[in-house]
Amino acid sequence: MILTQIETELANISHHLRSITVEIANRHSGGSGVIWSENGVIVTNSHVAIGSKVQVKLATGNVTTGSIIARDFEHDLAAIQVEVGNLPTPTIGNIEALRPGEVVLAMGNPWGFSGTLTTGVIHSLRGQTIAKKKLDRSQQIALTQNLSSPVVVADIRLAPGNSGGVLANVRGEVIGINTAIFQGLALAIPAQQISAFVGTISQ
Amino acid sequence: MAAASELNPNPLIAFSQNLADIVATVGNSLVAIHGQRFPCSGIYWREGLIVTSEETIKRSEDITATLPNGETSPISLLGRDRSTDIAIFKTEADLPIAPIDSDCNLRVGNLAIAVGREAERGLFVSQGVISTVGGAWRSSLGGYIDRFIRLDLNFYPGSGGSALVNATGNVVGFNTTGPRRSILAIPAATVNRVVDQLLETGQINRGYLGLAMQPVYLPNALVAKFSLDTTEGLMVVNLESQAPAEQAGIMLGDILTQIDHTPIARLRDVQAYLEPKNVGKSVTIQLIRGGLLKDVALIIGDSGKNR
Repeated sequence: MILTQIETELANISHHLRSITVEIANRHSGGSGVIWSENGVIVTNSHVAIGSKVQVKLATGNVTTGSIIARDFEHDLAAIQVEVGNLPTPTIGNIEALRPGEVVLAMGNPWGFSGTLTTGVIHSLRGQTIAKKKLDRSQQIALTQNLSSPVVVADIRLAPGNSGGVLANVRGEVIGINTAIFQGLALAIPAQQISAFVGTISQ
Repeated sequence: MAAASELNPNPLIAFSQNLADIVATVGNSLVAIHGQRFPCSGIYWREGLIVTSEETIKRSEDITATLPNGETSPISLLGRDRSTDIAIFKTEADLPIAPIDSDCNLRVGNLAIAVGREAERGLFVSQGVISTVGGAWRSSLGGYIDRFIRLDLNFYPGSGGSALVNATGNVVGFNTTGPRRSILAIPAATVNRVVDQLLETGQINRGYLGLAMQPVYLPNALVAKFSLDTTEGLMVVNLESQAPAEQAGIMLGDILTQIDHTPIARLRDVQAYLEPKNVGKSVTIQLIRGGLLKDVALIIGDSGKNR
């Protein structure tokens, strides 16, 4: 049965995505985050990681304190360092190869429900204009102040708390982190942008 | 589908690729229509002909469309029918005709893929399932629509007139909004039929009475007195001057109970009687006035002339 095979694949990817997704909480806000390196770098949205320290809850249930080590306000990104080693790491997908209609998966903690998976499709490849429009009308649910570069646009159900969580393709590769909702559409910062951001930290 | 030969052994990846292939193929036949109430998508339905949702159309001049290759091209309105929500445009652009399937067996649970084009977003997709499939129905304006198709998918600005594509990659209709924020599809069979009519006449004139009515319950005594086979009727709350109803002598406060011996209890019962073929037909309307039953002869008018 093709459906049971698809279901098995979805469950496998979901399991993997859950392992790299963390819950982030502090006094002011909360959301999701994605483990980016095995030595404890976690990436999330800047609007999720407010302050200099946040509580990070790993998929294993361990709770630890993370320090914000870098921010990129322009792309609403923040990097958190946790003192935990041997973490599972994501594979980065190729944004250039995305096509409208392609199936995508989001993992995060919408409304505080940990490890929630939603599925959808890539909506359009022209994220920039949509992101601009969003800013113009400032119909913001969770967001950055100046989302100016390309974003991935998906027809997938997100809710507050998904911010900073992972958006993945059907291979389980990370293609972005969910950042905002506009007219029901999910806007995600592309994985390449995140890699570039994390690259600047280690230098 | 195009990529069938290189089908990925992983069923989820294959599913995803198949979906993206279908979108890419159908996308070649879709345009974005500008200069309207809302942005909307159009489907290249036949040679030189674009179909879209009528409810998004505001003006009929100076309209342009963005083609799949990004070029902007002028299009001109050929006809529109509000009752079935179908509008057609003429275009000089040479696009592949959309793969239309007008008699496919839609089932609840089938994949529903909405593919459209918008100037800013380009080709766009939302995906869900077909949530209701019913028989033929009439819109609030009396348009005959071959199947009732309700969709469970997200409808975004610009989704009006977007193609409803099935899992085989065929266009089975276009998407539009219905009452109470429901998302409906106008089936391809209806589009084909209405397009033929529109090409002939440019518009579809329906019957016209010039009446505003509201459903009311009849008092039991009255029903018993006249041995009526209905307990409801339509009370006249407004009359247009010089319109067929007024000319026939219908008055404010009359309660209409039958047209040609068919009981009428809802506005849609009357709408159903105003089919294009009934324009000019003489009918007998039974009504209650001042506690008395009365028959009135009326000639159904032409909506095109009375608007």
